[in-house]
Order: sequence, then C-alpha cells, then structure tokens
Amino acid sequence: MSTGTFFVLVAITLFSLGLVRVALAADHLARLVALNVMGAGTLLVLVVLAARSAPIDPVLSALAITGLVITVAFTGVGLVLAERIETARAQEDARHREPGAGEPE
Amino acid sequence: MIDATLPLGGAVLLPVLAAAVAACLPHRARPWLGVLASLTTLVVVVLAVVSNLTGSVQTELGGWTPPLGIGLRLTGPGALLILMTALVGTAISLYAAALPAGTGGPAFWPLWLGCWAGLNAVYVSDDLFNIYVALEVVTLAAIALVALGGPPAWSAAFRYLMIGVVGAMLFLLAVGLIFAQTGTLELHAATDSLGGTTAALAVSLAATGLALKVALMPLHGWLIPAHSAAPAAVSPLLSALVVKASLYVLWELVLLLPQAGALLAWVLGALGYSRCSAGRSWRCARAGSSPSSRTRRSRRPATGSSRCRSSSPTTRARPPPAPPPRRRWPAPCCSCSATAWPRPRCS
Repeated sequence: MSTGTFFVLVAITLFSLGLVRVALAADHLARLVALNVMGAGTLLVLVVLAARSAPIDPVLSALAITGLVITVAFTGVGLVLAERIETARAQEDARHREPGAGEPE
Repeated sequence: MIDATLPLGGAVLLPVLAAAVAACLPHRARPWLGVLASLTTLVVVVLAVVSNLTGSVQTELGGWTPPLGIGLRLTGPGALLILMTALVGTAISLYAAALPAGTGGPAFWPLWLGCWAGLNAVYVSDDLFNIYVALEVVTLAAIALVALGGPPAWSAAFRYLMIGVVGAMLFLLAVGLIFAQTGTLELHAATDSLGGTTAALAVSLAATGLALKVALMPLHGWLIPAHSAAPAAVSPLLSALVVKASLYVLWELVLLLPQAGALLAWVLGALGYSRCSAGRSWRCARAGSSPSSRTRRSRRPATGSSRCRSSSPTTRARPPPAPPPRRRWPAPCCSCSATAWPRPRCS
C-alpha cells in the first residue's frame, strides 16, 4: 500500500467516524469535537492530494489552510452557542426545582 | 467587453465595508448606515446587471490573473439572483430600520451586511474555492442571525451550524477532487476537462453537501426550526436569500456538466417536488393536532417539560430539542393529554 492510499484510508475513517458521532451524539461539546475530527479527515484528503507531486502543490495547501481557518471560526461560534444553551438549560432546571419541589404530579 | 471591475467588486466589498463600520458604530446609528449601505449596494448591483445585459461580464480584481488572483464573472442566472438579493435585501433593511423590534438586536446590522456580501460573492465568483469561502461566510452569518432569536433559537442555530459545516466539508472535498483532476479552480475552465469516476464522485459529494444546505427533501429537518425561531426580519432573509446561494452553486454545477447533470437535475427536481408536497401534508397533519415530535418542547418551557425530562434517567443524553415552528401553539406537555384542542395549560 502506498503512502497516499494509506492516508486516504485514514482520512476516510476519520471523516466517517466524525460524521457518525455528529449525527448521533447528543452532547453539544461531543458534537463539536466530532465536527473537528471530520474536518481533520477532509483536510487530510486535501493534503494527500497536494503531496502527490514532489514540490507540494501550493494551491491545495492553501485550500487546506483556509479550510482550517473556517473550521476554527465555526467551532468558536458553536462553543458560544453550546455554552449558552447549557447555561439556559441549567437556569431553567434550577427555576423549576425550587417552586416545583412539592408540586403534585 | 465593458469594464465591470467597479460594479462586480463593489457589490462584494461595499457590504463588507459597511458591515465592518456598522460593527464599530453606536447602536442608534446602525440602522441609518444599514439603509444607506443597502441603497448604495442596490445601485451598484443594478450597474453590474446593466453591464451584464450584453452577455457575461468578467474581471480580475487588481489586475491579478486567475491562477494567482480571483476571477469575477457575472452570468445570466447570477445576474438574476444578485438583483433579486438586492431588491429583497433593501426591503429587509428598510423593514428592519423601521421596526427595530423585529431584528433581534443591534447585532443584526453587521451580520446582515456581512451575509449580503457573502451572497453577492457567491453570485459573482468564477472560482470554486472562492465560492466555498463565500458560502461559509453566508452560513456563519446566517447561524448568528438565527441565534439572535434568543434562547429558544439557540438550539436551532446549533443544529444549523452542524448541518452547515457537514455540507461545507462535503463541498470542500469535491472542490479538492475537482482541482486534483483538472488543475484549475475556475468553474468554467474546470468543467471542460472534467470526466470519469473522479468527476462523478466530486459531483455527488458536492450535490449532497449543497442539498444539505438547500434543505432538499430527506435532508430538510434543520430548516423548519431554524427559520421559524429566527427574528421577524431574519426569517425572510433566510428563506429568500440564504438558501438560494447554495441552490445557485448546485445549479451551476448541474448546468456545466451535460451528461451527469441531466440525471442529477431529474433527481434533484424529484426531491424538490416531494418536499413541496410532503411539506403541505405535514402541515395538514399538524393542523389535525396530533402531537408531532418536532413540537414536543415549548420555547417557553412549560412546567411539565422539566418534570418529563427529569423522569428520564439519561437527562443529559437527550438530543437538543428543536423549538416549535410557531408561537401560537400552546406548549404540549407530558402530564396532560396533548390530543385535545385547545390544549389545556399545564400547571
């Protein structure tokens, strides 16, 4: 197996594992981590394609770097959203626990 | 050929500049700047469309030719969509300036202008990777705009984010494959030398990714909560403009691939039609007041909902619930029968 094929297989594995976790996980943080695993798979494909020629193809490397930057931006927004959702949920739970403790079902 | 650098470049850079300035301005000045920028962009877009009347126009920004620079090109469909975006966008800006309550906060202005810049960039780009970046700008701004809807919209925005990134990654893979085979990122040059298995794989990846973003039939679950939880001024913006950007890219790909494109067009058309009819029957089913899983949880969580959640041992493992499509539906909850209409309020 050539190095290229090996890394493409690794990339496909990473992408599939990340995709399954993004689709099935419920925890926000777990989904964000899975999203980044998926992103690593995608970018690895680009890097493998770039490394086919002896001097690395600069355009594909540029694509990979821009892809990284965009993934970071999305992860940042996702973290803010996840944090806010969790905080809102915790406040909501606390609010219901206080007056609703002796409430009849 | 008419020199189209000013209108084509201006259509993208003017909203970017306005977004950056709007972010620095005090809150009260933002609507004024937003309306001014919208009207100016409308004029610039009309200029671009007029220069397009005699045929496709193209230009290179700063005189850099495509392998190094980014080519801009306005085609017929692109001109139609950029004009539609400008008209709807100006209307949205006027509405948002007149009724600030419908915008979800002063952060609306920088986000909306940034989103507009991304939309225009999609329509004038002649470069696959530039299209990818522009689509990401649009998606990121759209996610933030949905999140302006407040706590009930955050879950929908998060779900939209997941879908947007997965779709973008599939599209990025396709862009990489197309570049690896053809050696160019220019859309119109790339499609000439594209063929074989790689092309089929690349086009299916791109079509899947873009179908996620367009919300075609089997992949449409994210759209309803996201669009309905968004503030009043954002909702038309998402439905009328943001979805069209991905649709335009899909359209370009289909048009430029004669053989695979015809089959793909039929499949996509069938999916689009089935979405129209399924959407209608879904709405009728809901009107029959059967409790749908989508409306399971209220935006103002009724007292029942936390009880329901705490009854489950795996409270933390539940997926983020989607907010219901409309506010007028009272909250369904587990402790009272949800089949009766009007639904009784849970106490």
